[in-house]
Amino acid sequence: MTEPLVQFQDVWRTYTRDKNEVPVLQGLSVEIGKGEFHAFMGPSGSGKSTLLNLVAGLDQPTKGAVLVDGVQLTGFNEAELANWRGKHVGFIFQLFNLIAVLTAFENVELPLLLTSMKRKERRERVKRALSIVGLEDRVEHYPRQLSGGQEQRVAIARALVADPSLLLADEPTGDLDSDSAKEVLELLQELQREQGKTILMVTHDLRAAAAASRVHYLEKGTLQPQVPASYAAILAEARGEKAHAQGAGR
Amino acid sequence: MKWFRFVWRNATRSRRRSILMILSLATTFFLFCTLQTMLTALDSVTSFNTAQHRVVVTSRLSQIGTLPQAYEEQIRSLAGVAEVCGMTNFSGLYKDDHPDNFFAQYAVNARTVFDVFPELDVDETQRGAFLANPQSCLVHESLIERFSGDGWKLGSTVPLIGARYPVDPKLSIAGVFTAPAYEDVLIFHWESLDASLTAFSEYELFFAKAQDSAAMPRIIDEIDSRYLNSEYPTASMTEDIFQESTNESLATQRTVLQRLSMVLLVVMVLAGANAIALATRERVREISVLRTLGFTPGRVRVLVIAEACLLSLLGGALGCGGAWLLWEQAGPPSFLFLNFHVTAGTLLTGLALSVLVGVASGSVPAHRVATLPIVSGLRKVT
Repeated sequence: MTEPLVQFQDVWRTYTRDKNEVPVLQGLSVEIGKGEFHAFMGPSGSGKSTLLNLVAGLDQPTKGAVLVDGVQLTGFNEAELANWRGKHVGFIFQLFNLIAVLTAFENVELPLLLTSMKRKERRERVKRALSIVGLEDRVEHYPRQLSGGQEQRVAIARALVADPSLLLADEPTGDLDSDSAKEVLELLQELQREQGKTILMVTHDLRAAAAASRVHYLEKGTLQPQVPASYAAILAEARGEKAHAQGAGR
Repeated sequence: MKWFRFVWRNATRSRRRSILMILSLATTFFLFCTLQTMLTALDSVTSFNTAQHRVVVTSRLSQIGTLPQAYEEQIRSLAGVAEVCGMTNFSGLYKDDHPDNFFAQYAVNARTVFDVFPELDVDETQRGAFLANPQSCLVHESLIERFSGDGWKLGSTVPLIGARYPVDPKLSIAGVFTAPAYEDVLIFHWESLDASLTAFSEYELFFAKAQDSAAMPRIIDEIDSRYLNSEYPTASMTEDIFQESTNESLATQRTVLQRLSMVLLVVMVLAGANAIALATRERVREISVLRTLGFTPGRVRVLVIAEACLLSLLGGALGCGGAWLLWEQAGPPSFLFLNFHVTAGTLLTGLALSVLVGVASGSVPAHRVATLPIVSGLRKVT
């Protein structure tokens, strides 16, 4: 494995609901190397989204440590975390979460408004990001004027524009038809392959997970040594002849 | 994209709600400006020149009671009294009883009025003409402007209709004065009024100018003691106190207006807070997304408060501008106050308050969305 970018070191996360302690992650330890594309699967409540939230500093572990590029996020305050996220993390959501009153261009430009970048440079960066996702002809369109697939591609451009090292995708194909989902997954693979982005994707969709170079399976907050056999078969099918590829188990 | 554009887009995303909020704020700011203008008008009514060491002598029996003309000479003879001017409020009508035609008319002792009221600024020639003609009057320049349509100018005649006294004087305008405290005032010869009435020889009040302020308490004592057991007992006081007592009802009005203004401010803050809280509640998820992009809680607060300020400022500008247009351009309600003007101070206060209302109404919703855990915000379904 390449040098790790994300490290989970015996991470526990417990929530308190109605005075009851609910363990969500239980002693999770995993490393994600720089430039790798990992998918995390598992049933609802297995801790997939919590894992993403911990990497982004949206949540804090109850025990253990999460390191991103060697930096432990637990010592940061809210403002420091926000600044860190702006520089190092790009988010892709299931429901795209574009700002309805802004055009595609303005949505992509948002993260750059937080930098000291000049207007001209911002424009160039936004155009480049939209061109990477193939939407250079949709810059003035509002989200309501775009298809679901196009909206997700704008969201990917927004996640990319500040050039973060880490992309976090939470069910990025969950709200898309199969053709759009395929386009988005190909785009993510391209970003990993050509731009060296490290990608963590959480998904229920086996065909989406097959796009990752490695697939992890979470159950009851713990990482399973292998994906279930029924999953492995579908993953293998999705990857064609690469049934035994590197990501199909540990 | 600039920040202003971002704030503007968010503030106007629900056009109907934004317009309704702006209009409701505009209405309250219009009322606020109007109330403030009334307060300013009340202040101008009571802001007479009280630095002239004048003692006002009125009837102890009634506020509108009269005093014998003979008192004038007797008061003048007291030690420390420099001059005395008798005065009677004629309370007549001009043309008709329409409020637009109302102005104050005082019959004064023309021989002494300029000594007792040195602030009456009249051209020497015009003053001479006034003193020489008992059927003449002096008018404030505001009246010349107000009744220019009736042909008011030097030499023209002003026909008054007696309401309190059975006489209709026709007064020739001999001069124009400019003292700001006496806007919309006409003065004429008490002698001509006295001559028109039988068995009059009375004044409503006397203004006794003291040689210095230290002498005023003694003069007041001496006057009231002297007439205490007479048929016409007096109630004397300094001009300051006289103004206060005369304007006691105005003071009550002022308090009411001030309290109404405070209530309006609270209403504005609550209306603004309600609209902004609604707008931010609908966008909790979106604001959480912004925070995942790197927006700090501080920046989120500033953006939400800026939205509230923008809407409030628009409402404030519309309301204050409306008040200025209505009262300054369409014409002030002269029946209410003599000096009803929307001042620059009132407009600036209104606009400054609109910003404060924005900050006050946006702060709580801004704090809520800025401190809500991002994970919880992202789960909100809008």
